[in-house]
Amino acid sequence: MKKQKNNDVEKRLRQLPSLKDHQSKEKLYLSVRARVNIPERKFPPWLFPSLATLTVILLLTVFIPTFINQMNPVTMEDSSEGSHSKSDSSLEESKGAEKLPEQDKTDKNHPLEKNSNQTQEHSSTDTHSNDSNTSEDSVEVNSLLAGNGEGKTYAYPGMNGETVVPLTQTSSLSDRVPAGSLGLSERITEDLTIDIEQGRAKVIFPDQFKVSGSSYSQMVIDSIRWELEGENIKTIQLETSSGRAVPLGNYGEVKELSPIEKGEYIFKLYQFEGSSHKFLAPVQVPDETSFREALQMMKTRGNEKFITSPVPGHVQLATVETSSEEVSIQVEHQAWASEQQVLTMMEAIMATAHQFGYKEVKFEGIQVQSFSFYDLDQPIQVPEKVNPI
Amino acid sequence: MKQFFDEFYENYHQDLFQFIMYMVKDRSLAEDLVQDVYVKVLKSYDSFSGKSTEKTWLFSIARHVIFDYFRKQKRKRNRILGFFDWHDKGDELKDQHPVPEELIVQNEEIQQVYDALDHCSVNQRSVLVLRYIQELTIKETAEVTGWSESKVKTTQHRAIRTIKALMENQEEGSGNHEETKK
Repeated sequence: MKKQKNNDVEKRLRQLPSLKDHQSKEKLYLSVRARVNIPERKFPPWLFPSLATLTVILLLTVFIPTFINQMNPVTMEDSSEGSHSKSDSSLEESKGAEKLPEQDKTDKNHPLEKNSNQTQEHSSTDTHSNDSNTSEDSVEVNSLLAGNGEGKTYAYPGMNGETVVPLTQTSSLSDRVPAGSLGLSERITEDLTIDIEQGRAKVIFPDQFKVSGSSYSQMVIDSIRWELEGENIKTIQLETSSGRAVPLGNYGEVKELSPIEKGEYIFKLYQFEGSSHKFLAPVQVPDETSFREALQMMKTRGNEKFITSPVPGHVQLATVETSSEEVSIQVEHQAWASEQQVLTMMEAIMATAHQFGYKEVKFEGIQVQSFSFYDLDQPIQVPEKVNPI
Repeated sequence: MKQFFDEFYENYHQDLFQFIMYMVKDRSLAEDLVQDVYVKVLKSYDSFSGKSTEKTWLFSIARHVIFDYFRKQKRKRNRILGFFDWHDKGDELKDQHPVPEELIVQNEEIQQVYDALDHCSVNQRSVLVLRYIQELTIKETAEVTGWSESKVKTTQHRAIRTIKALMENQEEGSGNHEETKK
């Protein structure tokens, strides 16, 4: 009975029905796959890291040379600034000399550029054959004088209105001066008509001419006076097209201006931030300033941001007036930063000397083995016009 | 992965589900545990040594999954019992799952055996299902359980004895009930 019972149990166990799963195979697979958390790769696992690495390498290959090229000019400027601590103006000299060849293409078509290039070529030829005792040979020297009686003067305010820079157009080309690329503001006397007759100048303003602010009025006045400088003008008459006096801001209604008088200005250097162009800029001095005092004023930097002294810090100047038309200047100095530094200083002094009524300047004590621009043994004729373009 | 899954599904899925279903007697739970088994199988297929058959390896994994579930359930139940202080009565509380429809159409004796499985230990029940429902040999059952063949035989014997005793009691109970009626 017992054994039979065991068999009965086993028999009944074998008779238990088959229990089927009703869930779909696909649903089960999706659930399992999500939990296994092994995403099926369409691409081999090394593909994306390899592509990313390759992309980075390509980008670096493209950008690093570009970056290095962009950094090089900055490095040169930095080194120039290093020499600035030794000499106040050497920075400006070397900057101008180095950057001129890199000017914009638009500038290259302009007479100013041609003039500069010609000057550079001329000086290069002269200096290559001679050794100079300057501490840093510079073959790219640039004259800031326009000579005597050549060309017409146009006045362009500085970018901040800190000065009015007279430019002398020596070329017969009537190209518009690219003031912005030279670091200057647009000429504000463009719309004025200037008639010169028998030592009298008449400046006619458009009726709708308006000034905004006292500094703008000052720039208008300075521009007119500098454009008429050297024209032997005795009086400058201002009027509007309808014949009335010209309203010039704080100056009120102005009918007449006085021409620039002797000893009214000295010359310093103007160079706008980032610009490679440098100009002699007139800076007004108090009445009855002597030429000796003027030279000392030239050594000071002043408060204007973009105006610097053309006289290096290591230079000491003393004057010995030999006649009413010639002045002798004793120069004591240490090592020059470049030939350009010497030339710029001399030309600024000569332009100032012209402002003070002298016709010749004799420089004494400048120690250079060779100087291509001027004969230092002879008195040098002062310029009537500056900043050739 | 899909290829392995397809292969296992076609060859063993219904057996696997049936094994789990008879062990836990809950269709939705069985479906979850089947998923667990496939996850483990697919994650560890590389480690399959081939010493046993695929089927015994698969059932071995399934058995571990089921035992893990019961262990977790026991810990959970103990925590709840401790919290509510149900004394020993708690062990008598059972989940009421619907009887599979395949069993409803069976005779009473078959249903008695099905119910009697609940009175066997988990080890005994697993041996009975493997031996009599999955029709594995003593050797295959030993491979699945990781026991010796003699331990499989002993466990099987005790399980049958337990069921037989239950059925005798039920028969006696029903006999006494009929006599009382007479």
